[in-house]
Amino acid sequence: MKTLNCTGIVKKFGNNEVLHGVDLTLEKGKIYGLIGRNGAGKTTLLSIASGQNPATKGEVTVSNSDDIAVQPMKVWDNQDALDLICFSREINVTAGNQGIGGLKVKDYLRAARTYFPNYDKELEDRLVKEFELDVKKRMSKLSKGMLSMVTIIVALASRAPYTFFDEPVAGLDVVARETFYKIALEEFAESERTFVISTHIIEEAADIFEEVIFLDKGQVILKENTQELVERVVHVSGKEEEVDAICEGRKVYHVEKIGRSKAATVMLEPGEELKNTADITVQPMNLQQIFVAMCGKEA
Amino acid sequence: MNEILSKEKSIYIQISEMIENDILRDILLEEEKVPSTNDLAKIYTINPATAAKGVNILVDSGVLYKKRGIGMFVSAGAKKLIMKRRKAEFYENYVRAIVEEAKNLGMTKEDLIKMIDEAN
Amino acid sequence: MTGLERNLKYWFSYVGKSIGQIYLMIVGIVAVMSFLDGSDFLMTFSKNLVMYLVMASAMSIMVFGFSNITIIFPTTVSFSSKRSTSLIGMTVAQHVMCILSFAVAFVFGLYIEPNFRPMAGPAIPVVLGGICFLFFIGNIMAVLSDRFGRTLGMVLYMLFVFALVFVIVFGYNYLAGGKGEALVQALFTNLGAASVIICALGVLLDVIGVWILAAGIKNKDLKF
Repeated sequence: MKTLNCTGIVKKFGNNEVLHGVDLTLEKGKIYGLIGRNGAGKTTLLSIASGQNPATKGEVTVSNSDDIAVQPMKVWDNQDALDLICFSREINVTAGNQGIGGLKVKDYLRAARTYFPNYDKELEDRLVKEFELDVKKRMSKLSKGMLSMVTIIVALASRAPYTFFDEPVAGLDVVARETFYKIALEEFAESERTFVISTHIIEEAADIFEEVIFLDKGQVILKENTQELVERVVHVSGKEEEVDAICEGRKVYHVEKIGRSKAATVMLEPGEELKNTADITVQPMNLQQIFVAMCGKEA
Repeated sequence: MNEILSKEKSIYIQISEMIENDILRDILLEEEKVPSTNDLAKIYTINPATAAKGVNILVDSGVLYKKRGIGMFVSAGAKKLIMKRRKAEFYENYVRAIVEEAKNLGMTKEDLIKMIDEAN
Repeated sequence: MTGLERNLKYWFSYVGKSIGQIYLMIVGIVAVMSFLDGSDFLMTFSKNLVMYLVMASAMSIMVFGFSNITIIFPTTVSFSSKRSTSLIGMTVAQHVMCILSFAVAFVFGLYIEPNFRPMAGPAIPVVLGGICFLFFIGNIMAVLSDRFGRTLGMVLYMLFVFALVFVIVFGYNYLAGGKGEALVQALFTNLGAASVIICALGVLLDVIGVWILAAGIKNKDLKF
């Protein structure tokens, strides 16, 4: 099986444990949405899964072969495994011309080209044109949006089988965001790459995720096929007794009470349907609403 | 094929319905090739797997058939199939709901028929 | 290309470019300075150039050590490079380019100051040892500022740079004058084997410095 596996990932910064034993399997050829609030641990998890930072406990392995006899490779400190991964994270440019800041965009891209074994210069050229990026500009002179574009270009042009995007659309205006989703999908459709996109602008991107992973306070609380999840979770509201009856024996998130009326977010069995009655209203919820119900303040 | 996706129904169901609409409107003719799942994914900015799910509904119901290595095609008699199914759905989703709602409002069958006559 | 080849390619081009830029800048500044000075342009230019190039090479070891480790190295890791390979590339490129740049200044210095030529033999290993020692200091400071904060690192760096500049400028002017020459000549001619020992010491410290750096960076949480 071609997968990237995180097993029992624990991460501590000093005494602060930010990831509490995360298990995650990423399959080849899928687009995953990694969704979580600020501080949930998305960047930390991606950093460890891509072998850029070490885990306190646990292991990350990757297998690029369907042959059962071939052992999966350890990702940490292993160039053969690292060659399969690209984690294009937010570029931090300290003001002034020290280090990267002094580089021109084209120099930065050339560095990326030197390192990623599958890097596609043609794709890079096409993306630069698509985003209307001036590659002669110095990195320190780029706006936040333009820095995001550079990150996106590197990630897509790297042609790495496992490519992670950390909040790629931060700083992009709505048109540029749509451009990103379109281009990412095009590239995805032509390759068998795995994309993991972390975001907290949920609804916009929901349609391109085949599976979503909810990360809350350092734990994976859900990993489901997006369409199936959206079909299974409904908002039930109405007379308190009826709503309570529905909630019996089911996973319930986020209950609200107003007078004699109650509302609850309920997870149904796969394929189960709940119809409106005189006493209760059953409504579908979109991914963002589901996420807020499960990971919001009153969850 | 130029409709926008709404947030009310599952995406893949909307895909299948849009293809069906195009078949009913003769935008897609019988025995004609339907856009590939990758094309559909690009057009609607959705995951190809979702597009595939929508297409598979239609393959399962017989509206589309697959030609190995080439793609999906509209079946002969697809139009009739779609109409038949939609009429059945109309009964399930609309007619029964109207009857339920009428009962909830305390209306009789005659009241309901009167309303239908008025609307016609 | 293997990971090592990629890293060598990148680090050489990056360090080479950076040093090249500094050199160009110095040549320009010294040229203008010497021009404004009025007297024999070529002589003033050559003398000053050597001094400033030596100073720049020494300082660049420090500057690079710092920004390469804290900024460029993490960038290479963000491009999926294995850490140890990148460190190797960085260390090799830094050493080769710095030694080359010193060598250029050295040769140029010998050319304009024929009195120094007989000392060249024993001087070379000492200078080499000195360069390695500077690298050692650079690495130690990078490790210290990582441990105790950037401000301390910056302070130490400043102090060391001042000391270095002082020694070089003073030493050079002293050497160029009459008294100093005789002293240095005596020193160097008597050094003989000792010069090789000094060189070996410098190299050893450098190796230790690199080892400490590598050990520190191996499992560290990088800030990107």
